[in-house]
Amino acid sequence: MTVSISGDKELFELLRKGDEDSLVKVYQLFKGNYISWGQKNFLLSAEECEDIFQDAIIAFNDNIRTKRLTELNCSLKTYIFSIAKNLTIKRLNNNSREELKDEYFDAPIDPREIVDQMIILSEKQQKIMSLLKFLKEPCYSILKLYYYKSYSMEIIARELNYKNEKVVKSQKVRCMNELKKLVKDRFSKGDLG
Amino acid sequence: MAGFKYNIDQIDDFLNERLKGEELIAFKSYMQIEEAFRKEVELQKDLLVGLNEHFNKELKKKLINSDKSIANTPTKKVIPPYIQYGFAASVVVFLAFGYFFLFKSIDNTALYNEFYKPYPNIVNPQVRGEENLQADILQYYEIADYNTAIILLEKALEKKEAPLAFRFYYGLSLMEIGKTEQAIIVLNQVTESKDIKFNDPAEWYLGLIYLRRNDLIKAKDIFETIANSNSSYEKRAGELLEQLN
Repeated sequence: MTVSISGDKELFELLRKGDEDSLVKVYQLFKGNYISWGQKNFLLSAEECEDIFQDAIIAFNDNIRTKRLTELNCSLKTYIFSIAKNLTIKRLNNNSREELKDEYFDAPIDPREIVDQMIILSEKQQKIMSLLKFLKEPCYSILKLYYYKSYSMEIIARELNYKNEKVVKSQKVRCMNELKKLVKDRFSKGDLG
Repeated sequence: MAGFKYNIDQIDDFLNERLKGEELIAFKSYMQIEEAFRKEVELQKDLLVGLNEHFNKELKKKLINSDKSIANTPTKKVIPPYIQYGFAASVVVFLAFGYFFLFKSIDNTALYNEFYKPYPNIVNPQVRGEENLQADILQYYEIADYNTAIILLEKALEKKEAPLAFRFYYGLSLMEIGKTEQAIIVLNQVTESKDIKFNDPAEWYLGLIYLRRNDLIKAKDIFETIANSNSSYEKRAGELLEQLN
């Protein structure tokens, strides 16, 4: 069913505000259609399709939170399916660039760019990533809201009940120093370059 | 260049390509001549990549968990012997009366299908046009995209001043996608408000949900209340009761 773009924009606004619950709902809303498509066209298992579609949702979210996608010129479904399609092709054959025609896959914005931007982590970055779970509150939340969700200091102060944005700013610097200390304590100087 | 001073925000700005003009040139030059600073920038870059990927991984777990909670797989339990014997006995009872209940159930489904019609959107687009958000949300109900309607209505209902119409159409959307337990809770909330416009249809649809679920005691109870009231569904409830009895 075709949904009006104006209606999708309401949902898109929630996603732009970093509402993860809405993102989960969007995932649940379109996942079934994608699995059917992936099974039919690529003979993939439901589990493989699910995994690809989860990555597509994350790539879509990356694009929103980094502000590469600020305006939606097609339906959410079209956009997300375009990412998923390219991820599917990429996963099946890294050299393949074949184009498939499908009613959902005519996004005016090329989601291929998004797929190409997906990062392959260095060993050092993977080590850093594994350390994040040792970061305590409030640092975990502050760094997530500031660096991952791109919230302003003002919004973070409101969300986490800080007196004002200056207090959050100082706390954020302390948190980054804490993370650096965690990293430096865990790894030798050679590991960190 | 010796006078160049930097802070963590500048490094973030550089990594996010927000530094421009002379500020960018000074930053890059300082990186070239000061090895310690270059390493600091590289560490910050690795930290940001690590942070983002960690939270992406966390998000992926959240998506996977949402699948698990929906699947709601029941755990396997050891069945005590007395329950097994009880089960065997109930099979005998089922074989004896099975046909009766089966056909009764089919009758109820037919009755439900006969009386059930999706409730129209009675909030006039011109009237509701004063708030585009309302118009957009109910548009999804109108085009029978109940899943999207539910997502948007849930968000809208988080606000205290959300109109009763939102709760009513939220209940109907849940009913449409088969989430009858949730629909019952929501439609009961609507009837508690005693709002004339939505009370009667909410009661009627509650009765139909119980009929669909083969909970005939509750269904009859509701239809009898409607049949003995001044509800706009009075006549329909009476007809349905006649067939049900």
